[in-house]
Amino acid sequence: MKWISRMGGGVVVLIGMLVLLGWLADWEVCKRVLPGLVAMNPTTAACFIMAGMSLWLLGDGVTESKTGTGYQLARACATLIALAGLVKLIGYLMGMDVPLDRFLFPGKLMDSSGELVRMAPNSALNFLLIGLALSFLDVPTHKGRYPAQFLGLAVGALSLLALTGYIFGVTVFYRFASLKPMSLNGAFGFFVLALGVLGARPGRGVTRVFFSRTTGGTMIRRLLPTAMLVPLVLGLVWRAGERAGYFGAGFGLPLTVVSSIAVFVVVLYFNANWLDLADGERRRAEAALRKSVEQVQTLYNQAPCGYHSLDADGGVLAMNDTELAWLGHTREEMVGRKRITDFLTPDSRERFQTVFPQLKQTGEIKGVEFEFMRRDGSVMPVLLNATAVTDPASGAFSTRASVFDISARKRAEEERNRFFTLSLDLFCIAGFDGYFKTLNQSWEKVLGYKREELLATPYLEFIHPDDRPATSSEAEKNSQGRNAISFANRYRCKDGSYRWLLWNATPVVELGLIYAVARDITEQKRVEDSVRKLNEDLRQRTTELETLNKELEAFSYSVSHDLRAPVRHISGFVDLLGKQDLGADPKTHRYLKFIAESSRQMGELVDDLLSFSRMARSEMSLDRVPLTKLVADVREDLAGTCANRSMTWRVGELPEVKGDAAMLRLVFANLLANAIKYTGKQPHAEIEVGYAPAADEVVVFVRDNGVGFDMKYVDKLFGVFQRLHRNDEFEGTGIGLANVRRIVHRHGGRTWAEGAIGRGATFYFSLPRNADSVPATNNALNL
Amino acid sequence: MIQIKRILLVEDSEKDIELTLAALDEHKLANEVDVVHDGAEALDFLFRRGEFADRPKGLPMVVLLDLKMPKVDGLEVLRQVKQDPELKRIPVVMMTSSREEQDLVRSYALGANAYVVKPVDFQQFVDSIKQIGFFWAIINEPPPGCAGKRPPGAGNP
Repeated sequence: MKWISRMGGGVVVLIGMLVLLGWLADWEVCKRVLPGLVAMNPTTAACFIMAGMSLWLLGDGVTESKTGTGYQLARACATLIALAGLVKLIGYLMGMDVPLDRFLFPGKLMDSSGELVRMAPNSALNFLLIGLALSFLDVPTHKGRYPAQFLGLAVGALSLLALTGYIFGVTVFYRFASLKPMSLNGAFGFFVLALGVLGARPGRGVTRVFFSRTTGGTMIRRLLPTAMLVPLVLGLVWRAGERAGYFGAGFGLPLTVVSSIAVFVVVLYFNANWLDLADGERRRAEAALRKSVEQVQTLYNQAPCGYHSLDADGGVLAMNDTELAWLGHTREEMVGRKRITDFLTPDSRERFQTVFPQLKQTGEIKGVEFEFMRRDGSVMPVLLNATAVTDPASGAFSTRASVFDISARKRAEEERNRFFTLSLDLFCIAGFDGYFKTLNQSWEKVLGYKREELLATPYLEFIHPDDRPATSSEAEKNSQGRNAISFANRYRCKDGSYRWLLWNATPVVELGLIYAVARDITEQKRVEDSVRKLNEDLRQRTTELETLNKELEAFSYSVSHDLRAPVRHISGFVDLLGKQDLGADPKTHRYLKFIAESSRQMGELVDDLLSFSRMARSEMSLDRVPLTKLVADVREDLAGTCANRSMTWRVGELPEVKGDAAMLRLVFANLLANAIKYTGKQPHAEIEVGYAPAADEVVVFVRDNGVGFDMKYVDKLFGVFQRLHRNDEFEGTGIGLANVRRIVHRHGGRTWAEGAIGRGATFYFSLPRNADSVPATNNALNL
Repeated sequence: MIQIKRILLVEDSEKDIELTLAALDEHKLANEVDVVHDGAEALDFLFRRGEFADRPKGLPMVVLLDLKMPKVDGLEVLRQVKQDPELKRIPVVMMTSSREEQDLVRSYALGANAYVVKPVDFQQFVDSIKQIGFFWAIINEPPPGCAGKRPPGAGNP
């Protein structure tokens, strides 16, 4: 609104200049505006120019500093005008002719009507008032009022009166007591000056409302021109109408009144309507604002993170519900009463003392970790970001901090670290630069170095020179983003020994890091090596044994084979000799009989030995063998030996097994023949064949009620040529059960027996249920 | 002209020869036996060469061939006999102390007509030989060109 004063100042200066120009060039229109009206005195014009300048200068923002030369100049001009007005006014009051207004153009001041053009008394008063107003424009009373404005209002009223007088031709309004009248341009100039004084300081005093952005301001700005112009215009119309004789006296006033009422009603209606709308809008805007404020407030309070604001001493200015809940306090207990340090652990408090000055200095801190001490005594780790602000108006310092609960993260970290520390394996994070970044304690335990030593040296230097190229190429692989799985190398220990480490590693290329786990497999390696060596030894010894065994087999075969011929010859020639005439000596015949018997027995032994040896060497042909049928066949074969015997057979259902049919047949042949043989002296023989299925094998047994045996000798039963009975009790060579054992062993089974003297015997053999476990080429290891 | 005997016994052991002859005698076949003492002799005999170049023509009805012999063994003799278009028709009975499966298999593979393990027991041995002689030299109808079937004892002096 300052433009009013600036422009007003300019207009007034222009008016004064024009008047002076008129006096100079005798341009009447410049001096008096309309012919017949009074002209403006040139001194008055000069006063206007000074007043205009003063207003223009005071309207400038710069002069508000109240110290600049412009301001001083403006006040000087104002004082001069006031003095001029005062002097002239006193002159009028005292009836003296003060020649102040005759300095300029003294020769031209005589008017055509013969009167001198002087400064009017009301002009002098106005100059006094306006000069004072401009001088004391920024001087308030002790009550905070500005008298300059009232002075301005007075000038405005006087000038308006003069202008009205000119408009309605009421001379007394601008010419007091037939003294000199105020000129029209002078009246206009004072009016502009009054407006300028009022507009120069728009924000204060009586003019405040006029320039306010409030509804009241708008109202006055809208209605004031109407209130001023409508009566004026209607008055003019009335006057013009009267003069033209459209209506007689007494009719114009009511018409004017009615017109005024009508115009004001319309103007007021529209203004009220507008006000109503504006008010509604404002209420809606207020409601919306309130709602949005509430929303922001809710957001603030219920955010998943904490918010607080501190003053320069760390006192709590504000805190949201979330953080209050964390700390376990109400807002009333907190705000304005507590400092944030009241809720920090001693460590955190120390950190706060270093961080808070930083915040004040830089205006921002980020990612600082603190530990809150809650009301219940528990500790809560948090992460804090904060900014600091200083209010430009009040200079008050405050912080705004957002606080994040990181207890879950901390807990996870702690858990991870616990495993990290606890692990027997070696955990590490290594950089692509070839250095360890993080190591767990196992490193110290396994290698014996301090962690610092390990971190300070490129890891390649700890690796056995022979393993370095391979390790480098694994690391290269890692740096390309590939994992290393089950890679092994040797690390040098502090004591100079080497440990084997087995590695799994995975890289994070963006970070340039390798995450790796290693296991000390030195002991495992050593055990493996020794097992391998043992295995090799075993294999070698097995080979030796096999060779030896084969030699033995070959030896026993050839021995028995070569024995056969001489035995046969003895047998044959003894027999032939027996057919010769040998006389009647019974001894000769008995001896021959013994020789024959012995040779026959030897022959049997040799044959058995051969068959036993063959049993070890012959190939096995595996097949499904139904044992029930096999037993039936064997019984049929043995039927001859059972003739004239009182016998009961109990043969249960037997399973089908996988094996060599001929060999298994021999097993049953031997066992059943034994049973028949050793029950020979029982009045009634009972022989039972059955089986018991077990988890992974089939156990077959042959039980008899024969002579039995002493369990003391049970381990001799299955030996080659081992006999528990004399030959004259029960005939036999002692090869049968040895063959049974050898065959069962070749099938991957076991043999054993139970018995007691005179109470029968039970012979068991097992066969594996799983056919695959039958060793296909098992040979003579089971002698 | 002296006629060829019905049985050719190839055996290196004198004792076995005597026992075999004793056994065959039980069937009165002892005189129907030509005896050679090793494989080489046997081949000479069969191919009528060497000291046997002048032997009477004709072939035995059966050859009792011992497996283990010095110089040329029984299997070699068998091989050569069975390769000869003429001789291969003669039945060959392998006589051996061995129950070795390989010997058995190889013998049959070479074309042996029978395989007999000499029993240790003399009586059994006698029985075996008797049966062999009886079957091959008496019951069996020989291929043409062999010594010819005669009633037992017919050739006895």
